[in-house]
Amino acid sequence: MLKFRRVPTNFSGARVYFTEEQDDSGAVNRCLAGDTAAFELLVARYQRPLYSVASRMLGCREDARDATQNAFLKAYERLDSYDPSFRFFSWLYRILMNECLNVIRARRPEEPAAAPRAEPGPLDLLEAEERRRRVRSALRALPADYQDVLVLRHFAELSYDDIAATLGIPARTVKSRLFTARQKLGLALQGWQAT
Amino acid sequence: MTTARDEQLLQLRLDGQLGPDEAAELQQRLEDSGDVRQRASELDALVTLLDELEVGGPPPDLTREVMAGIGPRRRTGIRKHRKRTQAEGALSMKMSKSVMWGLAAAATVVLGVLVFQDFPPVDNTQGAIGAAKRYDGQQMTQDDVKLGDTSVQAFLQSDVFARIMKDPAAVKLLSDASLRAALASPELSKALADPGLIAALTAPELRMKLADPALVAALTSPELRAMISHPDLMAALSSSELRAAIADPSLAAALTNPELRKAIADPNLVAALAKPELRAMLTDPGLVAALASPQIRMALAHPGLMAALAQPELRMAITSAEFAKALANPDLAKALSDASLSAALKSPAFSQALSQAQELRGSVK
Repeated sequence: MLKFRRVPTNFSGARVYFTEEQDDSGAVNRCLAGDTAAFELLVARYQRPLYSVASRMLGCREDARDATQNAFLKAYERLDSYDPSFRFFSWLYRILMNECLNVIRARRPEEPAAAPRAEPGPLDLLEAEERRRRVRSALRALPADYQDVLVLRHFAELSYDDIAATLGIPARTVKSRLFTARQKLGLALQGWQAT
Repeated sequence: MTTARDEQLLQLRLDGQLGPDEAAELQQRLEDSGDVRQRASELDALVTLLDELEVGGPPPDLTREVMAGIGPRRRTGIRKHRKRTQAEGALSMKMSKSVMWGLAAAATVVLGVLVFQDFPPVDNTQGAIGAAKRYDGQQMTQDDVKLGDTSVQAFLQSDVFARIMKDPAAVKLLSDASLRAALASPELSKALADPGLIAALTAPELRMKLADPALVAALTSPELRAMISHPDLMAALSSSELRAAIADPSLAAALTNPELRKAIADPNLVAALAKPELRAMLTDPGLVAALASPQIRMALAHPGLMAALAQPELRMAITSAEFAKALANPDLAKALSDASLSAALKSPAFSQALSQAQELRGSVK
């Protein structure tokens, strides 16, 4: 019997982001009523998926930290513009993606996504860095609809249903977009096999 | 050749969404078709490429930083905050770049290290690129930094520096005119060129002490700012011993005593704190309390008293107001270095007499 390696997936594991959705609304309302500390719950709950998305989109931990931090701060400043009929994470995610795009636009075209490590390393380390740069570049070159589903699935590790709720589209659309996105990304990265 | 059904099953497999029947169906296809196996390998490789972008979890202090940032950004007061920030920015631009950078560097190193708790280590690898990018908007360059020491410049180029300069508490402290003037002193600039001081200020031991909220509150006190801006301290900074004293965690902890903070600008105390043997004794609360006495601080100039303070009995004795007053007599301070007097101080009879004197003083009051 043929055995393929097990592909990492978060779908079988416990997901934490959306299990306390009711609390999100409560925390937002408390923030709006002046309870600043309530925002800490939201930060603690969503910092991991947001940072994960930012770090892999930007390829630099410091930029990711700044982008995530700015996203939370802007969310707080504009909390009264949040529409509670949508998931709080969806709104946060949009703010974060804008932050990431701002960082990317501010970079000079020839600047690598991540600051290279100062310490000298063997050639395979350099090749791995180049590979990561190309993956990020190919990912950003995808149409936004496809980019979103890939990012939310692989970086924020959301399920089909959670991606659907985040993007406000049906789960079957998530599935079809995800399939197409992988095909497009695969074509863009032909020849760049992970070692 | 692969079919649309093959593709669907393979992609569901990537997401862990295959049911038992679908898993069996795919397994059969994998065994039967080399093309399906090839496609499965391609998709696995793609996921591996995406996984390679993994960078770990968020920084442990991210939540704290966000919450620190929203304090002054209260939605109702955000416009005022922005106006204030703009005004501060305009004020800063009136200074020359080199002066501003010098002040910022000095203030950052001294205040930033002393004041901010949970101080992260400086990541030198983030140096030039991060700093150039962050301060590009201010049109400043490395040449504007005049301190000359590479460790200070590395600090300036770090993300830590950027975060401190964004911190409203730091901005508030830096807006203090007298403090800025003090920080501009050549003595302080020279002291900050001491790699030992920078290393000491960023040492884990000091950072641990700075995690104490009471200490953080103490370090932001007016008394400490007075200490930093005191001319005597500026002059004393030429002493390597005093530079070591500033970074000594024992001194940091002792500064939680408000009386000591009030006395910190006393030249006698500054000189005494430069001595490692005194700092080592600052863990004794009785001694810290006694240092609030002007007589004790004056007497500390005498080496005899300093040596005698190594004895716990004497440290207890100097908590007596009468004893402190008596120390104003230089002969007593000198006599304390005498072995026989030291032995006498350790005697139970002396302790008893001291207790009686304190009780008597209490009853008179």
